Amino acid sequence: MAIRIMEPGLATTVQDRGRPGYYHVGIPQGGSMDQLSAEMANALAGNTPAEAVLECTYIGPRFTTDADAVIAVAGAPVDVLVNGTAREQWTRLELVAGDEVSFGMIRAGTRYYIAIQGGIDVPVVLGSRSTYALGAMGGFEGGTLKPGDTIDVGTTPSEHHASAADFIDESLRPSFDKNVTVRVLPGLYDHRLTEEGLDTLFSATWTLTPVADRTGLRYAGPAVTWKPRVQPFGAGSDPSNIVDAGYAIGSIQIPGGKEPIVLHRDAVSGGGYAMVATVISSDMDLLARSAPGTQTTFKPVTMEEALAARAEGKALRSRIWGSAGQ
Amino acid sequence: MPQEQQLEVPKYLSPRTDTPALTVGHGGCFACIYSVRGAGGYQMFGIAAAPIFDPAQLLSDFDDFMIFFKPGDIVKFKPVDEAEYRQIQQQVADGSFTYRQTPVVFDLERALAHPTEYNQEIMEHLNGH
Repeated sequence: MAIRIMEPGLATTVQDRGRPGYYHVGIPQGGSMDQLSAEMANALAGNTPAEAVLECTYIGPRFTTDADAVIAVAGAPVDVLVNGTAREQWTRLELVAGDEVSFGMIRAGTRYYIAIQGGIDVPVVLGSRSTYALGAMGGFEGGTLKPGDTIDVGTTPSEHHASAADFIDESLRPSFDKNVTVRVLPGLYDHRLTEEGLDTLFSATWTLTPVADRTGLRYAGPAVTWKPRVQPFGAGSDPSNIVDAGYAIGSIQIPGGKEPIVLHRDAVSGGGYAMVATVISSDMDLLARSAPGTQTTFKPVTMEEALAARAEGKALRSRIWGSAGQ
Repeated sequence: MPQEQQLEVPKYLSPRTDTPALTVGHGGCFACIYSVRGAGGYQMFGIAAAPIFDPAQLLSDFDDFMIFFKPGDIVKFKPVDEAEYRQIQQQVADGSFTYRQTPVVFDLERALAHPTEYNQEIMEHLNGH
């Protein structure tokens, strides 16, 4: 089976759970920005969590399938249309060969995911089907989809044809609010901010700017102050500069004391700006769902709280997968 | 190199959201080649003619892995004019380009004691004369 793309949407890419293991050589982990929504789409479509899906940003594609298919759409709220008729998100949709799927404008959030039973079948590069568009690798021909692309769909093993979930209850779905609290673990360089600067970082309401993509998200708000110091040789002249170091996924830098930048899944692996905190892995999806204008506070938590949040996320995913759990 | 002979420059106070692929940058005392297009905060002072990241592994220098450099590599930048830049790009396009490279055992003590002479010696080793 194959999907034929008539209109690609704004920046539609193939993504899966990511490509861990190569960040030290500068190849980002990548993968679906909103991992939970992508996983829910897979559960609904009768896939495993590992299948590749289509990540749609703001504007989705228009496509047909050349055979009967089962799909599901999860993530940012959007009108799903099959042959022009409105259908539901968060449930499985059965298509007949030739049905045309299209989307309206999203009503909130940033990204939604289309899973198709059998998964998007593109070559596995370094262990993943995820598209790293900046590096022109992975996904479908290394980039965003184009009109006329014909994308193969995998075959589902016969022992795994039943959906883990026919429907995701509203209480389990992620929300797409314009106000979010993002939990962060302070460090490594929080001690370089003045006491007032650190207090500003964690008490201010930051507004997500339009400078937000798979690489990172930039926030506007009050300035934060760095402690003055004699910079070590090679670091650069501003107190927000460090002698270059590795960046964690989710790390927050504040170059020049203005506009915190949070690195996301396609970020560079290192650089020369001090990281004052790191978003906990459980809240990376929250950032992925944030639309420009989202009012955001960064809340410091302990490692224990971060691990508890991770355990909560795992419990939620177990509920979704139930007996089909992975 | 002694510190007084090293380049040290400021980094951007507000990083760029876009940088052309293969930009040669310098920030603090570090040089870099931006392997792909994207964000960056180093000052830009050139553009490399050949890739250092080749996910399709079309060039022979990338037979082993899609990334050219390995930790510990010593890199010499060579300025080229537009004609040579175009010629290198042509070689990249037809798959014939290879980097000039040679194995070397780096002697830190000698490098610290006689940086200029030792650098010269490594260059002769690379150039074969």
